[in-house]
Amino acid sequence: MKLIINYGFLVSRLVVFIFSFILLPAAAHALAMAPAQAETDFVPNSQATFDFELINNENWAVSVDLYARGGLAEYVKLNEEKISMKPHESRRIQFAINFPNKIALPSSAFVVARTAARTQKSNAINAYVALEFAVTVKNIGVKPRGTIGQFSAKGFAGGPADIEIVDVRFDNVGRETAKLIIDVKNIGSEDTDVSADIKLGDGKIMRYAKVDPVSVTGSATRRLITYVDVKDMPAGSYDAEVLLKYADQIKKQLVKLQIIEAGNYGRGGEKLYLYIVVGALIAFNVVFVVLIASRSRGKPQD
Amino acid sequence: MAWLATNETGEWFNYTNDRPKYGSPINITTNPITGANITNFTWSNSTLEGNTTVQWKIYYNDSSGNINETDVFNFSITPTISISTLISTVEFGPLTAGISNYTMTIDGSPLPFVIRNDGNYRANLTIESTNLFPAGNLNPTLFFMFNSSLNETGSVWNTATDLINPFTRVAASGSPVKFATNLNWTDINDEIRGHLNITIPVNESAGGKSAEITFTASQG
Repeated sequence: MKLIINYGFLVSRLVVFIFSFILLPAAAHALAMAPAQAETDFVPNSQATFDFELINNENWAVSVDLYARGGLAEYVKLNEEKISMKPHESRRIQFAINFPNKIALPSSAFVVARTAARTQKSNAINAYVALEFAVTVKNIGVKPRGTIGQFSAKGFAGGPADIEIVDVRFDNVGRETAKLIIDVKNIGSEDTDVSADIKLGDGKIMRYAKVDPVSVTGSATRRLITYVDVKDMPAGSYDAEVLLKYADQIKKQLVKLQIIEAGNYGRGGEKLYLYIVVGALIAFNVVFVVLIASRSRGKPQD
Repeated sequence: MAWLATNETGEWFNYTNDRPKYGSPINITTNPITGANITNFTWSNSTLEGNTTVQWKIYYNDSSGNINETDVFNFSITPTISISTLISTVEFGPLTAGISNYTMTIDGSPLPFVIRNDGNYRANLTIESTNLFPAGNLNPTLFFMFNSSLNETGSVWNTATDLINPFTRVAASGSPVKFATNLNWTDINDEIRGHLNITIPVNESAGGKSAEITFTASQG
């Protein structure tokens, strides 16, 4: 986690601090997982996606088996089932739960990362250590809340391509640029290419960014990444407009970005303020506006 | 001059020249060409529990000697689960059919497993194993048993309910059972032992025996 602090437009100079948080386990020599829990709602025939950080704190490479268990294990889709991790390597593990039409609630699924302890001997009882990521499904809902799919709405597969924004957030924010991540889901069954135009702010302060077309297969979730110029943007709340372009449609979604001013004025008009572009969505306007829909969504009745 | 202040100790504390920490305080010098300078405070504290929220702010002493301060901000520490085995192999050596043996810490022949919580949050542990005696004495069996006990004082909240005692059958792979709950994470009391008690079945064939025993940790 990294927060970038623009700390002062003094009269003739700019002073910037980078305040970084290093969050490490209490000791080394182990496999570590963070976070280790998530909750989601059950939406029939939808997909919820999750991820966690897996860290090899050993001074040697390890081989890690990944597998699912629990009542929903058969619906868990792991991208990898066996990985090798270098010493002190950190890796983000992603998986999805493809919900069926019906399940008993509450229910759960666990993804386990397992590796051998260092010393293995023949004719002996050897220890393995494993860490468990738990997903709890408690309620029936329309919005699965995974660690990625926090804003997935309808989630019903079938029909022509239909793209929704699942999550929008900033990451790896720098003093001049901010990495914008847009997770989109194709809730239809047909494949499509998706591009995006992003407009941040309005009036005198406006920034633009684009995402070139990426292919999103039916029912899949893809990540769109672009970079936004935030240099010299004063503190305040900015509206961002995201235009999703796919098939023959354009969808607009509004999000808010908060840049916080947290200082005051020193003697001689020195302006001291904290400049923080948070790595999360501040507010979400959930109203979709279909601007162009030249193709009828419904088939004519014969 | 700028310095960091946090409330991670339970009260607000300024990291100044008297008690510097995290790269704070710091003198600011301006780049004469660009007029800018980039520096950082690096916060790292492994003694705080996961889900703890830390508040922080920064004080800045400007060129006129005025002390300015930011608003208060905060961040939360992500819970991390992590376990390691300090003793990861148990070798009983040659045993005769019908004879029992168990791990001990007194004479060390053999020593029990020792498992440590290296995360920043309490952990629950399960145990499961491949079969030690494949000739008809499959897990769970009275011939292959375990219990859990403290290796450091206070490593669990309640020894009566968080540990397994007396000896209990080791579960089969894929059907894990409780090994311990609420395993503490603080350095001085975060270790427990896994004792084994085996008996050689009379119908077991001679030869070397081995098993893979898995300890799985989840967030408590």
